[in-house]
Amino acid sequence: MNNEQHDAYRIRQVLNHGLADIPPAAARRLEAARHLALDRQKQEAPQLALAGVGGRILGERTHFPALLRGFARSGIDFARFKPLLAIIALLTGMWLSFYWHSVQYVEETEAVDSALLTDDLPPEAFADREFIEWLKDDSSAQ
Amino acid sequence: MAQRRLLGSIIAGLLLVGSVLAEPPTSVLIGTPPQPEWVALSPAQQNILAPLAKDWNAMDSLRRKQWLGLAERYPDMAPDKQRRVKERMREWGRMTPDERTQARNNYKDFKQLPPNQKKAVKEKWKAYLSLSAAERQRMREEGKSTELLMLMPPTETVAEETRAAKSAPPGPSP
Repeated sequence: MNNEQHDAYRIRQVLNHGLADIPPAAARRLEAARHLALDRQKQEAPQLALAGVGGRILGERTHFPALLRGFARSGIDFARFKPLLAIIALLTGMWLSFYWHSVQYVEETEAVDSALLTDDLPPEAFADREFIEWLKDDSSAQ
Repeated sequence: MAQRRLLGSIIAGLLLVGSVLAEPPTSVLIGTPPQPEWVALSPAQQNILAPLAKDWNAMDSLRRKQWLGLAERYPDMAPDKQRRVKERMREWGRMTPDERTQARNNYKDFKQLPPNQKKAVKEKWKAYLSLSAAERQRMREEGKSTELLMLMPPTETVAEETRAAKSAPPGPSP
């Protein structure tokens, strides 16, 4: 490792030494190429990071299914699907909550309905707003 | 960004409030899975729910689920109650959701009454039904509901309430 660092240091020194001799046209081309490379790196950074993590986690030595390893190596941009996955998870959670609410509501109304439909008084009596209000007013006035 | 979040929160809040206030709540309608069409019901279910055959396919999933629940309870009911359920099924099914909700709430209140008051309400309803629409309106505007009991032959349980309702002092006893 020390040798590698030393070599890298030497190469950098040599390159820096040669900077003064680079013609202006070549310097401009190098600058343009550097900008281009940086732009591409910015776009691909998330994909490379995820693919790298996936590659490490789902490497050849692991026992994960080949399909998952294939996904990881294929470099699919999971970051792009994150908002979609979050929305799907949110909607699923909401639906489960609504489903539970529905089960409770149906149980409660079933119990009342079965008693109401079998009572001596018909449902029309309890649905007759004017009759019921009249009874209530009358009893409260007494 | 903050404004969008605030707007989103307000919309979500309004949806939640609307969902709670509506009857049946919107969340319940969304959370009820699809229920079978009439032809997919078992012969036993079709027999019990026969009065609803024509209306079944037009019902939403929630109503179908409620009726299927009632059909499950049906075999455990006494024969006279089974007859009542079948007689009242169609009319109950054709009420609006608001009417059914109101009827359920009134019924819950009614169940809290002591037995003698329940009996009085039943007698009043019978007398009320015997009146024409115009007479009902006149009674509601001018009289008390206890006057309805005077239209009926007094029974043991309501006789006391009937006597109390009479404004005239009792006549001399023979």
